[in-house]
Amino acid sequence: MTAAILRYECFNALRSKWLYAYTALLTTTIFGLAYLAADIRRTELVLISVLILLVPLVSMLFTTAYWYGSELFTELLVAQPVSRRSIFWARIISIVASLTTCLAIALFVPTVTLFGFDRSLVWLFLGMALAGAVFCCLGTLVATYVIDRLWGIGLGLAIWFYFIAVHDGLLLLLLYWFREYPLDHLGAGACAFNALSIVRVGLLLYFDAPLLLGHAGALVSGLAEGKMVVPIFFGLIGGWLVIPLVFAQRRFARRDF
Amino acid sequence: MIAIRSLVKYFGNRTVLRSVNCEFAPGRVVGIAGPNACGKSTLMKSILGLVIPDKGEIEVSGISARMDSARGEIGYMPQHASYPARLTPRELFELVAALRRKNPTRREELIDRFAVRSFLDSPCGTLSVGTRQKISAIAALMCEPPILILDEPTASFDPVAAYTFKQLVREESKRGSTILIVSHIVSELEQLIDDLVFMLEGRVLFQGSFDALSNLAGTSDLELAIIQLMQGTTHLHSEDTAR
Repeated sequence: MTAAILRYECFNALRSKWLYAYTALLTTTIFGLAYLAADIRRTELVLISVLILLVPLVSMLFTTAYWYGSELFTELLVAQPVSRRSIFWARIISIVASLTTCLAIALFVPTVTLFGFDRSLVWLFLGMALAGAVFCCLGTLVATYVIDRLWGIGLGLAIWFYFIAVHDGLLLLLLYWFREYPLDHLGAGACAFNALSIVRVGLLLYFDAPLLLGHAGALVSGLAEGKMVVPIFFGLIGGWLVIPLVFAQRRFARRDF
Repeated sequence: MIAIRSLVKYFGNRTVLRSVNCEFAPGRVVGIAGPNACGKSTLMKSILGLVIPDKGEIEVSGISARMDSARGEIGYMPQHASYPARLTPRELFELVAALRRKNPTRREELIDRFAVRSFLDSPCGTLSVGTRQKISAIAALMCEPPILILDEPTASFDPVAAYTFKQLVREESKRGSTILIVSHIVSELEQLIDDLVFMLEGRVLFQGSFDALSNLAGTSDLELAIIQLMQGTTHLHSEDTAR
């Protein structure tokens, strides 16, 4: 039953012209950046800064637009003898899978063409795919709770902007105001409340580029100790994936159409 | 057979359904009518599992409407047929049949009767509203469900399609299907229904046969009888009213 919906949802998402345009734009951008950087390591560092903005934004917009755009069709699916849980999971899996496929094509085709395969590209892809997936989950949460599509898409953009800029700014301000207190651990812990900080710090620690970490990242890198970094990274990202989906699924299961 | 017992639904502070009780028997075509915001769409959506009631119970062919399998008994034709723009009618029929796990035995016949064969591989986004409504009718009827719920079914049809559709409703009724029609078009109800459920402010004010309503209102004009019900000038007898 889930397989039938999943197959349909994947076909439907992959036939979106939006996704083709996104893939083409991202591929061209990455190709241009890679060509100018002329070095795999520099390209990867530039791509972290660019993709950490672009991938979550597109994921949030695509996910919310997809849920709102298929509202009446969702109603028709819910009226069929199939559980709401199946409809929900088929949709979220298809959205994440289609966006991740676009990212994979856009990231690997230009870089592998120019520099050949590098293992660190896989980590870059993994980090960005996880960041995108987190924003798909947050977009789903927004779309299931907020009925009005303009409010929903607006809230989605506000969440993206908070994670991109506001969170680190607030953290910096708090640390400045309370600079006489030893708040390093608290500041590092605050990173857990921003999925993008987690991904950025994880990647920059892997690429050994502390200068690009930003304030929150610098706090974490100072406290990060060896082998615990990877489990903490995946644990926190796992939380950011699971928690929004649990709430979104509960809401979807109980909502009225 | 659909049985509804003590159904209550709130939307925020507003009570939309107030302890609704009614039964819909096999082989009967029932019209659900009433003024705007009287609760008829909420009642219909509750049967379909689209709206989750706060209290009460609904049974569809003896299965609680809370079970997913209950919806396998129902063919649903929504008022606005909206499908993903890139989906073709052929793919839609395949998806619906796969979800219902039933052979779409009447699909080919219905495609011919509604004359939509030439549109089967066109994306739904390119189809007219009327053609999408025909596709919706085929999707609802093709697996021969024992219950049909039709929301303003002929509103977008041309006269030929409307005639075909009415014929199909009569055939389904003779086959023993339970058919619920929500409509504001009184002439359409007049042509199709055996029984009428009239709702007002979340309550079933009248449930009975068309003949019983005519006797009660003193007129065989359904439109006039409905207007009298809405204005409260028809006094309802206990045997014809729902609780």
